[in-house]
Amino acid sequence: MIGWPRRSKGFGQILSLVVAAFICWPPSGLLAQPNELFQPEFFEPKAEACERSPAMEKYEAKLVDYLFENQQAGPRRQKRRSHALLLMKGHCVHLELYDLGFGPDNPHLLWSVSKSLSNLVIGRAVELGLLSLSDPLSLYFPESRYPFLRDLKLIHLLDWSSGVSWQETYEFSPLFSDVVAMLYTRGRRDMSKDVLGRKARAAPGEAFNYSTGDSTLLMGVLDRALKLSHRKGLRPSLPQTGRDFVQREFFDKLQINSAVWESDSKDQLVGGALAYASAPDLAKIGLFVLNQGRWNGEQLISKDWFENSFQVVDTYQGLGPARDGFPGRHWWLNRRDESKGRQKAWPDAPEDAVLAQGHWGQLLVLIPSQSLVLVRFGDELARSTDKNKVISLLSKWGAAKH
Amino acid sequence: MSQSRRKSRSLRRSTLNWRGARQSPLGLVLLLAVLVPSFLWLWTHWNYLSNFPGIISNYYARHFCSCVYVMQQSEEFCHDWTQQWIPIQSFEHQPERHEVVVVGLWQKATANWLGPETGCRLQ
Repeated sequence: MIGWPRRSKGFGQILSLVVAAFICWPPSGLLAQPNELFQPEFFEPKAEACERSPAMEKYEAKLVDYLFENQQAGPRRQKRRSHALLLMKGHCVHLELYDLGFGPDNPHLLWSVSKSLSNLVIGRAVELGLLSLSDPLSLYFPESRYPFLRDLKLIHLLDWSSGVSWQETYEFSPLFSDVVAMLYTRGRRDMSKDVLGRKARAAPGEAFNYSTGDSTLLMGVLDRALKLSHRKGLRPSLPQTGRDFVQREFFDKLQINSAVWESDSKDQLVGGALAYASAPDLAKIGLFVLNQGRWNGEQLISKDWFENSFQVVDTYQGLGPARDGFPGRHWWLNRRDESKGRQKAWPDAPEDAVLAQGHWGQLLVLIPSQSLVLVRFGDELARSTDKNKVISLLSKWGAAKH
Repeated sequence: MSQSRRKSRSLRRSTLNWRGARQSPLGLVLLLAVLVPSFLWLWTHWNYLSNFPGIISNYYARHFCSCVYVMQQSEEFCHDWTQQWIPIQSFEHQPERHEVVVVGLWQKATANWLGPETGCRLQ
């Protein structure tokens, strides 16, 4: 993997944990070989980002004890169980830990973390002038008979406020789940059509409803926009399909090699659920976000995109605390809002924490003010991991001095 | 007054007679009371219900395929990873064709690995 320094993988016997790399230890090792990929724009190789201290080790041990508490192989249960944990401070990886058959090169199913990746892909398309957030869906799906097609805009999909009637339930209630039906039965051949074939529950932009359908439709829009653009002879330098766009304009730009994104029979990517990436590659995406869209000397997504994405969406009414955080534009936030009486979602975590999160315990945690990234892959039934605890431990780890 | 009393008595008698003759509409009414709402429920939820049996095999085939070919895990791990509450009836993995065929709830599903970027897809 280009530009991703890593020592050889070691295999521990006890708990079969694998401590794969402490690349910043000893600190002189890093300073002797600064990693050119991650600087100099935002993350200058500051020595303190790579310094180690006993206090940090204490918090690392707490995080590992908590997340790797029950590492029993076998079918998924309620008990917390982890496949990977990666901690970064600035440009420096401090801890990489794998278990139960996973290592640094295994792509892991991201479930709804894919949604946050879709946000970045759409951000890239907006940056290149291919899409605009005010584009109505009637532009890309003229054949659809969805009642609010002209009023339904890209921004409503990003805000999970499309108004499309949608039941978001998983294995505990598969019978009436629109996600399950879209992914495996009714919609599997053409997911965009399936989403737009639902009834309207509200006018676009009026009501918040977390929906894998909205997120998947984003990728349908991307694919249609590229095809439309080529038919009109516009932007010939851009790829002709959504898949090629994501590969060339997103993964390749970030030098990400492990990512896989599955699709429906029309090869439109399942933007809401079925992306895979290795832990180091997901951390890289986290770093790209902390870098506010700049990578390898190129501003791939404008800073404004991140600022706008990290605001709690207007249609969301919750006041907190909330175990899953507050919805931003396909990212999850901890922002207070005095005017609305909104308290922090995770009381012990910093207010600027940003999360991408997926089913069965997939997590990408970012704390921009402390330049921290945490990647965790899990395999447990819903809500076994206390995010308030994980984020606050990460923050304390980042602040720990000697 | 006496007339109405007489009427109600005769009504009661007639009901008893009907029951005795096993021609009471009560059974039919009860049956309809169960059937009609059930039918309405089935009708309004048919979109979901008709799809349900396919979920088990499609889910298993798709995620087993991705588990082996995308996440690069062992078959043993992938059976645990993919297991659901309703067990499947048959399972077949053909590595030379990159194909996983699963039968569950009498529905057959096939998933194929299409390549390193595309991963697996249901047929």
